[in-house]
Amino acid sequence: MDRALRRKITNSVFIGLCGGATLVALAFLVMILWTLLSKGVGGIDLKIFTMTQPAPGSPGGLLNGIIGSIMMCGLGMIIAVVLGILAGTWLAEYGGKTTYGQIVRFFNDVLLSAPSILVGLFVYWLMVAHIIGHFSGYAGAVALALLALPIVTRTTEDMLTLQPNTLREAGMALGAGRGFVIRSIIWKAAGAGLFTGGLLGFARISGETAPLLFTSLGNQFVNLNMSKPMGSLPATIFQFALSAYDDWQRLAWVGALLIAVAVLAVNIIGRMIARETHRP
Amino acid sequence: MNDVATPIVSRDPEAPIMVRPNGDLVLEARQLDFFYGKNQSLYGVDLPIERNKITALIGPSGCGKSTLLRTLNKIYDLYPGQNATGRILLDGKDLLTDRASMSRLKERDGDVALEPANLDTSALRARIGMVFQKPTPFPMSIYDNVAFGVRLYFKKSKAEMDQIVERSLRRAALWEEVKDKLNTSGLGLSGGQQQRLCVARGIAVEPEVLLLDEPASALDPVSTAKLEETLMELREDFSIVIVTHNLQQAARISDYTGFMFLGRMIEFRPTAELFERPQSTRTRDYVTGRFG
Repeated sequence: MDRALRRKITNSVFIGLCGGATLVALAFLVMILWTLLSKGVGGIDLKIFTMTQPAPGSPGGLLNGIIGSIMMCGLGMIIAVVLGILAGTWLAEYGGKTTYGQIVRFFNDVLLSAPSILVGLFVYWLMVAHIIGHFSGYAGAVALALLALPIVTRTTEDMLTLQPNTLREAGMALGAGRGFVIRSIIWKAAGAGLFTGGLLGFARISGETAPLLFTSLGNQFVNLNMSKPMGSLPATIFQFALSAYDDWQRLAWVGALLIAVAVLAVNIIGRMIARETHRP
Repeated sequence: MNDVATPIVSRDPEAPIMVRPNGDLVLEARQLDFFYGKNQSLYGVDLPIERNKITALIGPSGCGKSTLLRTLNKIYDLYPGQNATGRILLDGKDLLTDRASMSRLKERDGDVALEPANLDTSALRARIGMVFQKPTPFPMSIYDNVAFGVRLYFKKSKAEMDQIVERSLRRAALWEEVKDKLNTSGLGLSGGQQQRLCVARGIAVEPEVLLLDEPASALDPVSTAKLEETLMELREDFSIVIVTHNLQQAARISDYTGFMFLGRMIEFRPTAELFERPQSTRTRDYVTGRFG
């Protein structure tokens, strides 16, 4: 067998394997989405968005969970993005090479893969048991923030490190201070990347159930006061999916579909905004 | 070459051959040593920069010419472990020791610059502009790129700023190409245009000295010619120091040329003399292409 033929065969086999693996991964994704759609779409109606969770057998929706999820994810993301971008910026631009910086980075990476139930327990101990004294939406938001924070921090550091040093030097050569260069040039140059970090963080926390179970507890009524226990979609799904009632199980599927659609929508919108603002 | 008297050749083979300019010096390095951590990369370098002239620095890679340039506006300050000793005189004041001298920005158009108390080094950098090897447009509009440095130190009305932006772009020979798209991103320009944008950005703050670190090495011949033309015109208003690997470029545009080797200034003379009658054998070997 001559060399050219051998290379051709090797090439085809390798591409075949890659394609096969991709297909397997995609197949599972499609199956998940298909299950979600087929079981969830049928249950969607106006009641889902206007009524709170029902007793078994009576009509109802997911409004308490939807509002709770939006508020806790929203506050959690605000905390995570503000702290994460500042921490990532410090790691990339100031103290990343110091011993303290390396310790911070190490523990951030540990947090990155920390089991979410552990984070929930910690926040339970910190906020529910000590600071506030009872279950609340704030505790839920803090638990979610702690999960998104390491992702935002890590992505921010990576994206800022990617920016060429000459860009920093050029800013400073014009007489700008270091902090000003970072805020007005480097953050701007890394904008799309920072945005992606936020999206990844949001995707991570939007479906988290474990940390919410013993922080925000759950609430079957609509509650806009974050210092009180709050409902959330994942907690409702958890409760309903395990139940024996058909109508509860249907609602659980709808809730799962809503989370999937929300993550997808936020991703698509985010990418469109990033592309719009970063067109050369 | 028996037609040249050589009074400047020292008996010490290590001593640099220096012909100091007769004119007014805007910037001068004296006995400058530079350290990257423990590694010394400049050894007692002297560099006189005459006002309104172009001074070129040539030499093989790693000879310290870029380091010398980066020392002149203290950009090395950003990196811990890098350090310079010696003297750098700007208008007679030592930049390395006399912090008070740095905060005084030039008066311009009648108004006095803001003098931020703790931004001495930053204010110094505004007096000594720098253009880098690779174009470094900021991720913002062409207009904002040029206005960036001005906004840092001067409060200008919209109309005044418009004028400054236009004048700077004209002097950098870029105005005609971008006047209709000032609000589009600077990243959308070609490499040569980006480099001239960086020149415009640098001169918008009216620095006294403009440092250029191999500004044409990433450009094609046409863009290079345009940039050189721009520099020749800018000489009327600014004093220019250019590091270049391109000997023809140094010969074409500069008034003085310094040849550096292994962190030392070997020979510093008017450009024509240095290229036509190099005194040091090292210089001769380099400019005739025998090494480097």
